[in-house]
Order: sequence, then C-alpha cells, then structure tokens
Amino acid sequence: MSIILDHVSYQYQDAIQKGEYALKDINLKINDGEFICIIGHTGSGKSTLVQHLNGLEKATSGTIYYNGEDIDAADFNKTQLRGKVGLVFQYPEYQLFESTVIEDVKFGPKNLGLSPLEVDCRSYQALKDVGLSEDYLDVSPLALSGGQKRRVALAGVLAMEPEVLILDEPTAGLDPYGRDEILSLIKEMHEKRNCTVIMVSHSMEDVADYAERLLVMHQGQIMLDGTPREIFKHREELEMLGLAVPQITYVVDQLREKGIPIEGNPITVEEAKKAIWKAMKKG
Amino acid sequence: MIRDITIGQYYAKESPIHRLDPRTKFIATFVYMISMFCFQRFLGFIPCTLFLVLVIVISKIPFSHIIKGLKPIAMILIFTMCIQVFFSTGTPIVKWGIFTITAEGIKRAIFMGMRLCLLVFGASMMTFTTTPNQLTDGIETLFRPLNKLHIPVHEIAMMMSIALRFIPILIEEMNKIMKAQMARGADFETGNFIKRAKSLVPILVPLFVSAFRRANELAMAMEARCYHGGDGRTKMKPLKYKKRDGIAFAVLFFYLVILIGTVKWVPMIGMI
Amino acid sequence: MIEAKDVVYEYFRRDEEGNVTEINRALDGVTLDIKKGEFIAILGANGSGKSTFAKHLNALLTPSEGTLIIDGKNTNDLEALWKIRQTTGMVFQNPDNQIIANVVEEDVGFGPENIGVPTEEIWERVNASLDAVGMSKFRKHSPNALSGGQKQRVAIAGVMAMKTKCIVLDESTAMLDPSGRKEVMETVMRLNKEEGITVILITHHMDEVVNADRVYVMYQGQVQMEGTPRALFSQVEQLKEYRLDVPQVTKLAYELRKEGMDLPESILTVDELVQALLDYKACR
Repeated sequence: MSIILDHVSYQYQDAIQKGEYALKDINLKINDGEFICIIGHTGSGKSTLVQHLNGLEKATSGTIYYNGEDIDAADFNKTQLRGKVGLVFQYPEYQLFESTVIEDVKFGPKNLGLSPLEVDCRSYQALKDVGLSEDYLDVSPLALSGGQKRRVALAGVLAMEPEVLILDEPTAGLDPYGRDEILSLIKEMHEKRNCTVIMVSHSMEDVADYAERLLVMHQGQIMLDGTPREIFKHREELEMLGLAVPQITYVVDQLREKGIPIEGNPITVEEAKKAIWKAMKKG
Repeated sequence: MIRDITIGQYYAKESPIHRLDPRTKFIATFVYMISMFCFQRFLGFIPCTLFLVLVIVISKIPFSHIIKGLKPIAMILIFTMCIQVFFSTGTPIVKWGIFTITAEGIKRAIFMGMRLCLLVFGASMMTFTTTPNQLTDGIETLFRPLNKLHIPVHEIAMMMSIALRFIPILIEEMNKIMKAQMARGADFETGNFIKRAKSLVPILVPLFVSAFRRANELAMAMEARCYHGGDGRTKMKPLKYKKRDGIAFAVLFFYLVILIGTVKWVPMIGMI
Repeated sequence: MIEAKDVVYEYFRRDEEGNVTEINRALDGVTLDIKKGEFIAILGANGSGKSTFAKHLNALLTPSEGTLIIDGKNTNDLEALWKIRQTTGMVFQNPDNQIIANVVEEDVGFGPENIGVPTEEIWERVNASLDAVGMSKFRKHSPNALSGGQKQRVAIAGVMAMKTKCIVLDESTAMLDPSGRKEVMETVMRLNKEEGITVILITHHMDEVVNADRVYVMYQGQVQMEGTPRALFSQVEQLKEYRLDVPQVTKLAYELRKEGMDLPESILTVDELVQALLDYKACR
C-alpha cells in the first residue's frame, strides 16, 4: 500500500507560456501508515501537491500510482480513489451545506455508493470519533461554533473511511485550545484507524510534536525530506527559505555555542527539558 | 473555464482613447450603437467600419484581441443569421422541405451579422479602454441628475463597483468549494439534467452562505470607515472634461454627418 | 483615550415569530483603561468576547449597560458616532472582505472620501498612508493580486488615511501565514513607535503579544487577567484554564522550573532563556 509520484510536474494553464511550474519534477513515495507533514510558504506548491494525490488536479506530466495503479488511467475509478484518499480542505467548514449535521456527514459515504446501513454506521461512528455529542446530530451545521463546524467537516471525510487522510492546514484560524484538540484528534485517528496522515502546516512547533516525516517545499519542489529531527539540523537552509525552526532548536543551538554539551537533538518541549536538565546537572 | 470569459475586460495600454473621460466614451458608444440602426443599406457600413477601425488603431489594441471578443456570442450570431436565412420571404433560391432560402434572406442575414459584430466591437472598445472603476464613476456622474427622481444613483454605482471586486473572489471560492465536494466523492459530470442540477446544491448552498457572510463583513468594514451613502462625499478622482474630450465629441459629430450623408445622398447603386 | 466601565453587551436569539428564546451575554462587565500611545493586546480564545469588545471601540456595537468613552466621547451618543469612527480605525480578520475598491490607492482613499475631505488633501493622505505601511509600490495594483499580509497593510493604510489616533486589529492576523503575520506586526509596531498611534491588538497568537505594553486576557465576556506580558506569561496554568497557551520557550522555562531548576519567572524570548540557563550554570 503506497502512493508513488513519478516525475510529477504541474503547470497552470496561463503559466505554461511563462514556463512557471506549480510543481516541478516531484518524486515521492508515501508509505502505508506514515504521519507526514508538508511545510512551506504560501505558493510553494504544497496545496497543489496534495490535490494531486486524490486526482483533483491532473499532473501536466509524470504519473501518480496508488497501490501500483496509475490514477489517471482511463479505467481508474476516481470517485473510489477519493473515498480512499480523503482530503480535508483548508477552512473545511465552508463546504457544509446540508440542513442537519448527520445529513452532511452522510454526503461522502453516499457518493461512494454504499448501502444505507453502511452509510449510517460510518457517519455515526465518524461523528463519535470527532467527539461531537449526539445532541448535535439534527442541528443545522450553520448553528454550530467554528470549532464544532470544523469537526463536522472532518467527520464528513472520516465517514468515507479513507486509508490516507490528507489535511490542508487543519488548524488555521483556531485558538490554541481548538488547535490542540484538532491535532490530538488527528493523531488519535492515525493510531486508532491506522491510516496514513498527510498534513499541510505552517507551524514548525506542531510539526515537531506530531510528524514522523517532514517534507519542506519551495517553489514547487521538495527541498528537504526526512524526519523532523534531521531536517531541523538544516537550520540555515530553512531560514534561507524563509522558514524558522522551532524555538526549542534555537535554544539548544545557542547553548551548545556557549559550550554547554546537550545530548541528542531535542525538538519538543519534553525532550528539551530532559536534555537540558541532564546537561545542567552534570556539573 | 471561467477564465475564458474575457468579453470586454480592460486591456491596459497607453493611448488617447484610454485617457478619454469615461463619460465621453460612454456617450460616444451609445451614439455609435444608435447610429447603427439609422440605415438599412450596406453602404452605411462603410463609415461605420472606418470609424471603428480609426478608434481601434488609436487605442493600440491589437485587432486579434478584439476579434476574440466574438467568441462568447458566436452562438447567438449564428442563430440570428440562420433565422434570417431560413425565415425571410422573398425570391426563393433553394427549396428544401419546409425550408426556403431566399436571396433576401441571405442578404438580411449578412446585414444582421455585420451589424451585430460592429455592435459588439463598439461596446467592447469602451470596456477594453476603460477600467471598471472609471466606468462606474462615469455612469454615476452622468446619471446624477436622476437623483432628483429619487433613483439612488450613487448606491447603484457603488454596488456595481463592489460586484466587480467580488466576482473574481467568488469564482475562486466556487472552484474551491467544488473541489472540496469532489474530494467527498461528488460527481458533477455524469447523469441526466435533473441529476446534474441536483448536484449543484452542495456548491450553491455554501457559496450563498459565504457570499452573505462576506456581504455582512464588508458592510461592517464600510461602516467602520464612516461610509454613510453618497451625501457629503468627496471624490479622490473627480471627473473633469479635458480638451481631448472636446476633440472626441467633434470627431463623433463628423462621423454622424458623414454617415447620414452617405446613406441619404449617395445615389442608390443597385440594392446596396 | 479609551475608558470602559462595566460594559455589558447582550444579544438576543429569536425564534421564527420573533420571540426572544435566549439572551447571550457576550460582554459581562468589562472595565479597562487604555492610555494614548500604548500598545495593548487583548488575548482570548474563540468566543471569549474579545471580538465583540473590539467592535465596541468603533461604535459598530454599543453597550447594553455601562459606559464606553473613546477620546472623551461616549459611544452611546449618536451625535459623536462619526467622530468616534475617525478616532479609532478597525482592521478586520478577513483581508478580502474589507477592501472595497478595485485599485489599492482608491481603497485607501475610501475613508477620507466618506468624511468629505477635499480632493487634494485625499491625495496627500493616501500618499502618506501608503508610505507609512510600505505599500506605495503597489498603489496601482488590484487588491486581488496581493498576498494576505499585503492586503492587511492596505487596510491599515486605509485606517491611517482617516488620521485615526488608534488602530484596532480585530484578529487581523488570524488568517495569515507566518510571513504575513510578521509583515502586519512589524507595520503596526512601527506605527506605534514612530507615529504614536495607539494600537489595540486582538489575537490568540501568543507570540504576537510579547512586545505589547500591557495585555488583557478575556474569558467568558470578562477581563480575567491584566498586566505586562512578562507578568502574565509566568502564570502558565492560569492561562491554560482560559484556553490559551504560552510561547514554546516560556513553556520550557516553566517546565524546568517545575522540576526544581531555579530560573527567573516569566521568560519570553530565546535569548532570555539561554542567558538564564548560562547564569544558572555559572552559579553552580
């Protein structure tokens, strides 16, 4: 089970003459069960990239394989693909349209042509998973708070029971508490449903806490690919791309420069606490 | 797909036509279009076309760009011409079932086609050379006297200008919503008419909700910046007629004289 | 400059017949005092009432109870409405929904046009405001061609062109990416320092308030905490209760202190933490 991108490039219609690429020669293998974060500036191509993975955008050149099958082949069923590769857009609450929460969540599974019973099962389960109480089932989505709306939208994709869950900046506009809620929910889905997660993010701190693998994008290309720990070592390169490493990394680097030996490469608050504690107590 | 609709989009160039007062261009376009209905003979097209060519040359807009403006109305054009060809009475040339093609029909079709093309070219010359803002400004100033009839001229102009600003934003938003629903397995491409119409609901509902939210926020932002209608408002870019506008009106007058002269006094050459 | 005394704002939810079904108290006795030239941050989670309060500062909403005085004028006084709106300018959250004109410079001129400024002076004000936010280069551009951060800077210029004494940023950075946020923050901080504009920043991004003179924390329609960023950020647990967070270094310092390391309370920046750790090491 995997997604493979083989020399994938994408150009917007009006950019072809200018020779500008939204994606340029992307080669990437996404393995089963990974938790991947994609980071990069606005316009670096990260949103365009994820929209290729479920066939919403069609590569100008190159091939994308889902479990070994070419997704742009004539006989390939795109609707089924979109059920397997679930994509949650940025501000997904803006896509809610049904008159009740439960009807809206059912929209995805219904489109997959499942039996009514299966549709019901999956939808109720998805709402339960995102932690929305049953009192809200028959409420209009428009009457919910921002955070609740986002969870309904997320449930709408989860109800399709995707094997790969892609989220485009799922925490945009949320307050710290709401952000932590959504992130831990995603992590829980990753573990409980055992699905691959691909998350587009702006926050290095979030990335450090959650990602197993990090892709750094710039001008339509993947500049760095590795674990967050490895990538945060390339501090200068990241800064050149206008990205910062987590504050923790700066603290550790500066302490080292001042001659305090800190072991390992801590990237989260918890790790840094232990490492600094150890270095300080060593005398 | 939606990007193709470029009919009459502003074409940035430095030219005397671009610099004209929008009111001048509006009046001139109006007069030009009316003049098109003042004659029934092919001869009239000669001054009409010459005048248009003159304007196009001065405006520095490439002819190819102007021809492209016909694309969206091609269907209407063909339809109109077909009706003229098939349903005109006169001397029959070809008879085919219930259809009779007459010489008069063909002539009328060509006449109508040319008139329609020139109308479109004329109107698009105004929009090619005038930014939407200038145009709304011009319309507002031109129609200000209607205020006395309690027609809210300023408000209508403001609405037009806001609509122009938000059309691209809403188109982009629609694309985004469409993609989001496609990601949930929605299908907009297959099925019969009713199924397709139904499949638009998941796009239109969020789009309307969003449009209302935007309208609400925009109204608040305008209020916060002291907007309270047209009363007591000053203009950052007030419109002023310049010398070139006088020249433009003079040229327009000469065009009218020549056109009327041509169709009235030039002796009939056959049917032309 | 701004004095709020026991400000209460209630709004009603009505059913289809128009009967009141629910009364919501969005603001519940807010009292605060903001001096001219200050850089104030109002922090709060979603639904804490911070945005409702922001809209009071421009008289878009008026208190149900209590008084709010802006530059000596009561916001409940209808006569003073336009004066108040010229005193405090608003920059809203969504950059797209507050730009009215189709050209940058015309949008900046929109406010002055509304208050009847003569044409020549409008141009002077537009030029000065665009310079002040560093957007003169883009004056002829369409707003649609700008980035989020640039759009917000245009919105700030639009407020500046009204010669306001105070700018209220109502979650203006919430929809921006990190570089856009930085752009906007740098702009308002410069206006605060160089032009003496009072800035009221409404946000839930903790790293933006580090440079504020004072911070108010709102929760459930009330001001719960008030003080310098330094004083507030030492109270990590308390902030968590109000659904807020502290910058990563502050959290790290807090955790180390909790383990028994003797570090100063309230560390806000990377440099401060490094220095504190070096001092600690030297002491031992």
